[in-house]
Amino acid sequence: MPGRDWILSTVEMLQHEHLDVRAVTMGVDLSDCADRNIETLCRLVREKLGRVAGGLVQACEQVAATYGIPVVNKRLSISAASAITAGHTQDELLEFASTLDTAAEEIGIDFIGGFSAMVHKGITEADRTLIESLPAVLSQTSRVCASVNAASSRSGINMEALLLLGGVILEAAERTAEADGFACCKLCVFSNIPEDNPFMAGAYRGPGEPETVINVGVSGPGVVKRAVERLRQSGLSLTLQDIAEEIKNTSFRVTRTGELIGREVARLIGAEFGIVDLSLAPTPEVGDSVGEILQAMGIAHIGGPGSTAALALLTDAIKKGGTFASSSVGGMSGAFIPVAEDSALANAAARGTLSLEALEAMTAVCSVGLDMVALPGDLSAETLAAIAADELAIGVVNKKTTAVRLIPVPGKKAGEWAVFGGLFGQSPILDVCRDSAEEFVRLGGRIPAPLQSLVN
Amino acid sequence: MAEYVVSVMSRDRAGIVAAVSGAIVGLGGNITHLSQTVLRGYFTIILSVESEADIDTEELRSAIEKTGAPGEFEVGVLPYKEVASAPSAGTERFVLTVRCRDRKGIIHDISRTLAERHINIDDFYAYVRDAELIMILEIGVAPGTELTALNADIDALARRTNISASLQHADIFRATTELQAVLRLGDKR
Repeated sequence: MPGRDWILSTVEMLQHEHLDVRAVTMGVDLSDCADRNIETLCRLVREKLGRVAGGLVQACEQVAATYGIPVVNKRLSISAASAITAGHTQDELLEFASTLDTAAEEIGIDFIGGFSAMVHKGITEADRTLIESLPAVLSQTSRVCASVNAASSRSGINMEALLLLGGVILEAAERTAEADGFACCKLCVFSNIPEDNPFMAGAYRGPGEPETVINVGVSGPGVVKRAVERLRQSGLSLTLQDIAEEIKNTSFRVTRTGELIGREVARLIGAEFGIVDLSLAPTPEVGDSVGEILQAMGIAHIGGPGSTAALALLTDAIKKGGTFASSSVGGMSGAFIPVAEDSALANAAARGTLSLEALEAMTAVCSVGLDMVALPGDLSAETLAAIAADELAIGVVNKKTTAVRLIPVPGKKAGEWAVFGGLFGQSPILDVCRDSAEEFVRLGGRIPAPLQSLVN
Repeated sequence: MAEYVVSVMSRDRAGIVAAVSGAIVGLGGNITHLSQTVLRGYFTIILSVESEADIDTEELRSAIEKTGAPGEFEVGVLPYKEVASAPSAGTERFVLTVRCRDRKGIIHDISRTLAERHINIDDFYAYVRDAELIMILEIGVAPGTELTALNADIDALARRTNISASLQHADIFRATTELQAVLRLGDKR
């Protein structure tokens, strides 16, 4: 048995520092359900999801009771839907999405991801139909999450797809105007989308993954924040290396917790174990915030000078501790800075220290990008496409995953608040330099893939 | 081969183990197992001893006692009888952690709750830190035990006695502290 102090510190992390498993996401291959008859397709999907994932919630609860570690979110990710639904109309895709919604409700999960298309090099008819169906799908279902990969380091950035998505995001926001454009909270646009990401809204089961697979998102940021606070309150003479070491050690323990829980759930449900995603995923709850970690490290104003450096230290230490803890690390594995879902970030945005530009700089050293960013409702599709292109360019050039989850809030202007509720939180609407890139975006086509040498 | 179980208790000082083991060796015995601890300045040790020739238990007890000052060592000696099956054999390791303000009877309340469910305590450590009583119990839970019901019992006890209690499979503590891969913990994964 481990030493008594180690036992007590683990219990302390559990009882007072939000140690949990943030997401257990089961990836399911649905390629064998593809059928040109929509009724057959929907029936096969519902039957398969019920058969392979029907016991997911019970398995998670059993494992949580055994180890005393809460599993906060249980979710499903499916094969990219555009590959399953090729040949179907937009109305049929809405029927397919409704089937996913119903299946998710029957299984007892809050979200199902994978209503997705991969368009980083070109758009097929099936991809276009799926993307154009998104406003209806995201506004008329409650559990379905969508993602589109519009850029990659090998293919460049598909500007045509981003312009199409700019219009889709605006329409989805309009259809849920009474909820501040909430439908857009369920759509991520990626560069270099990971195939094993357990976090919503961007989770999908990528090609090359097993038939069924369990991917796990580790605990939230509260544990790391408390570790940094405890160290700084210890009275010891500290340097930034000490902070990095403490975060690394905490990441080791958090990652081990995630892997243990994930492997047990996989064993119980008869799926393969996939990966542990090290990403720190905040919630609007105070004490469960990536922004508060930066504050605990000594950054008084998030978004101000030092923020990107502090976030780089945090992300690097998390990765080092996590990769030592487990050989099954994957997904996005960084630190999320979703403005609306992190109360410290939202407050920094309200104070004006956290601007869109500061956020962009910070996303160059963490994951996942401009996430849960509320914008004025009167932006053009071109401006939204340009903001997305900027963010995806960071991922393409740096060979990492970046994404945008942008919410143009209908009828609201910069400085007003958008309220999404629950885990999605609330945020002030950020100001945007508008109409500066319309001509550039309308040129369309594809920004070529970057050079892979001469890397300075 | 004759086998004995020996216990010694005394105020702690340097040289007790040397004295006790010297007496055992002097009678032709060999120590095969040993567990020793010091609690609030008092030394306790339990030993398993084997010997090719029979040793009179009273002779062994007296020899050990005489290695200390008069009245210093409290010594017990029993002939060892093989235990067919330890009470926790075949069970899964769980750790029950309890934190509370100290009061009379709290350890009895907790141990009785476990005994009523036929749960054996393999290891139990309790100490006071910053006016708080901290207890760490390693227990064996039979496979198939309804954990929800056991947790409900512990929760009810916690509410009734105003304690904070947490029951967790021991692998969570091993996973978060040991370097060996999670895959190598237990035999289930």
